Amino acid sequence: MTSHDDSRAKFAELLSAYVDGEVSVHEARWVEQYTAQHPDSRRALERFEAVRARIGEHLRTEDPSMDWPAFTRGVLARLSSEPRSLIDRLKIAGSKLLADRRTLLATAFAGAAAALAIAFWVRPTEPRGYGAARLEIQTVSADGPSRSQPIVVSTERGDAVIWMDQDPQPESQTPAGTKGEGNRQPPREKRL
Amino acid sequence: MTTHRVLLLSLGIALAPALAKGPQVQVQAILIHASMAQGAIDPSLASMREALSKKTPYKTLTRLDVHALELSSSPVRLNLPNGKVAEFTLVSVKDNIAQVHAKVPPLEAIYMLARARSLYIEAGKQDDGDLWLVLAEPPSP
Repeated sequence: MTSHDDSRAKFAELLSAYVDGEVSVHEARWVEQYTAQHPDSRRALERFEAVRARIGEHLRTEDPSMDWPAFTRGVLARLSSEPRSLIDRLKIAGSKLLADRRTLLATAFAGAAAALAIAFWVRPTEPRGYGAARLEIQTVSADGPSRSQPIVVSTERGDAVIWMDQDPQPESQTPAGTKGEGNRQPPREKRL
Repeated sequence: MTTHRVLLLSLGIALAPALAKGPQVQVQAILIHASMAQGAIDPSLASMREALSKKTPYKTLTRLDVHALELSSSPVRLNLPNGKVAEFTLVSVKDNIAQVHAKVPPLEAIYMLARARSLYIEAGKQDDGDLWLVLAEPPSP
């Protein structure tokens, strides 16, 4: 990078701060000398100052009814170093959000409503898991005295009944499973 | 943040719970007190009386309580009036047929749900009769 490029870069960097009066005396003098030696930079500076002035004017004339002194006091009050309560901070954040992001909030609410509608629309219309025609017992077991055995029966209607036979009679009853965890067996069913 | 990103985020937030949920199945658990003492049969329990008639022809069937259970892979416990604790777990859902593990001490069973069908499980003694647990499809909303 040449010395000329360095100077142009420095000028571009200082331009905005110079117009706002935020540069040191030394930097201001450098800008003035540079623009005196470079007419194109001088024109750039003038254009920048003109635009800045127009923006300021636009802000002042946008709402002539605006009470600028009160506005300024409000801004200064907000910049107060006194800590605000949580409720005050929430109120300020809420009003700012409503003022600045109204469209965004409306879009978000519309999106949430659309999502809920889709979720409602895609929900299953019939209970899941009830696809079988007959209720089927797959395994049954029981903990307890060795004389107790689970009995499983299925009805003609397709229901099923399970109960403990406290006094099994091997000839007439059909034990459905065996005792204890890990020793399950498919039940031998009988019809009532 | 652009508008369409907010829209997508809202959609994601609204749908995430539904998508994150594992399979769930609703079951109605009805607690019945059955007794041989002369009494009344709850009209809604006529099918139960019929189902049990050849085992024990109960003369009194009273509906004690009804619980709507939402079964998932985590066990759902149900305190019974006779002090026992029943436990139900959804084992799987395949081809719209749910497999449920029901534990009503001392009994334990794995069964497949069926539309409009009931599983009657004897849940022990209750007062002067028996306590029965009926697992059925919940009524349509």
